[in-house]
Amino acid sequence: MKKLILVLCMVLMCTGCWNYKELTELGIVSAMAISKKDNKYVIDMQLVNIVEAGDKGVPESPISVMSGEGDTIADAIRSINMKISKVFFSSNMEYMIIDKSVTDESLEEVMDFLARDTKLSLNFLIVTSTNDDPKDVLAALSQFNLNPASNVSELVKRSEGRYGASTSITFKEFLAKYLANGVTPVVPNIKLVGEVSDADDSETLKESDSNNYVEVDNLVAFDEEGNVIILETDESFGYNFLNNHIQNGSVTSQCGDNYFTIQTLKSKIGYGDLKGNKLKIEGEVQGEVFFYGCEGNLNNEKNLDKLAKLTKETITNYIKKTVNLAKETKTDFIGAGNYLYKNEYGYFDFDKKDWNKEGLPNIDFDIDIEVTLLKQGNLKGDI
Amino acid sequence: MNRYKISSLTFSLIFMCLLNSSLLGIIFPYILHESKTSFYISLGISFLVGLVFIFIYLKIFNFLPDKDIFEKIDAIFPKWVSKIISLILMSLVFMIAVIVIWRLVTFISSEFLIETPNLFIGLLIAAPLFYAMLYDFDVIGRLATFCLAVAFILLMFNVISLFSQVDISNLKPLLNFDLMHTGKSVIVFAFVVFVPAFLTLVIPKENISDSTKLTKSILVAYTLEMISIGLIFFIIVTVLGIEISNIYTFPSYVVLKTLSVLSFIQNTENISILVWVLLMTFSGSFCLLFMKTGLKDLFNLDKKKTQIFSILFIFLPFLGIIIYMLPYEIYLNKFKYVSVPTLINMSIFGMFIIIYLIGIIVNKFKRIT
Repeated sequence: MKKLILVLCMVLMCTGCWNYKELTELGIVSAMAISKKDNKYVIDMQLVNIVEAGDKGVPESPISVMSGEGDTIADAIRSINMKISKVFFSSNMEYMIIDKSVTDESLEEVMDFLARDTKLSLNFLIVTSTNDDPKDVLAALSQFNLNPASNVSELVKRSEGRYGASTSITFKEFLAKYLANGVTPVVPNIKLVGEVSDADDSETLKESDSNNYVEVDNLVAFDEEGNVIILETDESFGYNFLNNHIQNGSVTSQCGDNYFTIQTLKSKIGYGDLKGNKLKIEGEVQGEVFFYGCEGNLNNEKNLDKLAKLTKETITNYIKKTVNLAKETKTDFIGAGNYLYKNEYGYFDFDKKDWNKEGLPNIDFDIDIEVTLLKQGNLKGDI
Repeated sequence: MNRYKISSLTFSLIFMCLLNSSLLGIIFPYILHESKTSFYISLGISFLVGLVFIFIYLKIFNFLPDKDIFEKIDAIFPKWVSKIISLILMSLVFMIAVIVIWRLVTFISSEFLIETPNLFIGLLIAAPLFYAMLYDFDVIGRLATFCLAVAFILLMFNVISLFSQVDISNLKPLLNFDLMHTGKSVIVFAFVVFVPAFLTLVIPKENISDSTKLTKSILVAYTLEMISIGLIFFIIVTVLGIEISNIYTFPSYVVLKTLSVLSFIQNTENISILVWVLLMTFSGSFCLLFMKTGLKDLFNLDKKKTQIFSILFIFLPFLGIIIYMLPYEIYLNKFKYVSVPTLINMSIFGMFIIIYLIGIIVNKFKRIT
């Protein structure tokens, strides 16, 4: 009797197979874009095609881009099923493009949709494309990766760590900043280089000097009205230094008419004490000489000190520009308000007052960064 | 007296499992909502309150040590009164079982088996409960050992994997609590977490082979459990941040969605969450077994056939209610998922206290006369 019940119990374990889907029935979503046109949501979906790369390259496009339109995001997604018979599988989505048309009050609906969907992970990247149609970006192929979505995702992550002018932000981080007091999320901007019409042509992949590709541009934030705030390269560096996103970034400074580049080995910068309305920004950057084009031999300690001092000025300048942009645009993408909310609780009433308009413009910043050079490459001095 | 014997270690493992019955669906979302980043203050106070609850528990447990809770009631009260009290107690425990399993089933239906009909999900979860009811507490004790071993491995894996994402600044602001919210979360925590462990009173003290070690075992189990709960809260808040933790129905599941080990072990949340499925299924089984023992004691159901009848008498309405309630997550979700179980657990706690106090008075009166 007990064995029979046990067997019956085990049979019930197969309920997960109810309404199961074969792999061929699934439309694997690798990237998605949300935008708005004529007050209707538009969803563009990049779906993976299972193709084999043979001796003569890729015989067909590894992706398909499908679009749908509707009054809500859910409607727009479901309307794609009028064109394609697949069931969408979005758990492994690499990135999502949030178009500038949905960064106003629509952003709340976008966040609600993404957070509510039980099948989505929290690890996909959020990006934007201020210059191009999101559909064109999704349709662009990559020379380096069969899956263009993986290419974009890797591109954003790599440029953050290796160069320093971009930043990667996952949906979890974006949502946390969107919901938190005193901070506005910053997203990487990606753009299409070359002819839009050629970007999705797999024939161009066969050329070694293809002029059509996706590039990571500067960082972008959105103010309370949804207007785009573009961080130029220096400001993007400043943002990344301030948020400790730079791992092996490079900092180029001028020495007279020439330049030198320092590669960062360690960077730890953050907010410090608040005295009156003056908030300290302090920290340390350690680096090595990566390129040296200045006069004066590096075996002289004074020259090394000079490089450290100039690098310090450059980084301070980056941060200063970033902070000023945040104050000018009255948008706290630098997270100063959030720092004060967490560490100086009671300094500002975030529930009743608007931090961006009443708090941030009144804060002054005192920047004090230490730069230490630890290595100078293979050479003892210079050639 | 019942025939089975269990060790104090097994008993404390059962005790520990029952403390987990309502963490996933009730305690984590509610405490994070009420206490926010001051959850550690609520947990600290709850730990002390828990010690008081354990003291009361041990007092009741040591009172008439050869009897289970139903036999204690029978010994204290007149026949018909004891039957009414036992039936009320069983009804309340039945409600706890329904709430625990309903929360588990709604979790499964909303996160995994979205397209599976409710009937099959209900059967899927209820079947092991029915199977467990065929056995006695010694078997349930072995099940508790298995559940906690799996839970420990998964908890360690999850904590270690998520540790790289810990951001201590998410614990700030440290002192944003007020007495009202902290008080409410301590009360809910105390009753919803600790009272289900009182159901182990259905095991008589004399059925524990090494009962002298029991107090120590329970205190160790309780401390370990509170450390684990604290660790889970810490991971949820530091990884997700309080804002995200607050918006989700099951934050302890959502935090696992961010899990990524060496960039290639991802999407393992469905395995990691098994810890709660096991512990909640165990708690449901124990509640139903509690009722089965109650019916057996109440109506002297010693024959096998009558026992099967009692099992079906408990199980079929339970299954019916679970399947009926399943689609109604949205209506019960907002606050009733906290207030109803708190009130039920308060009532059970109140009943145990009253039974114990009257028991002492009756005992003293008997000695005098």
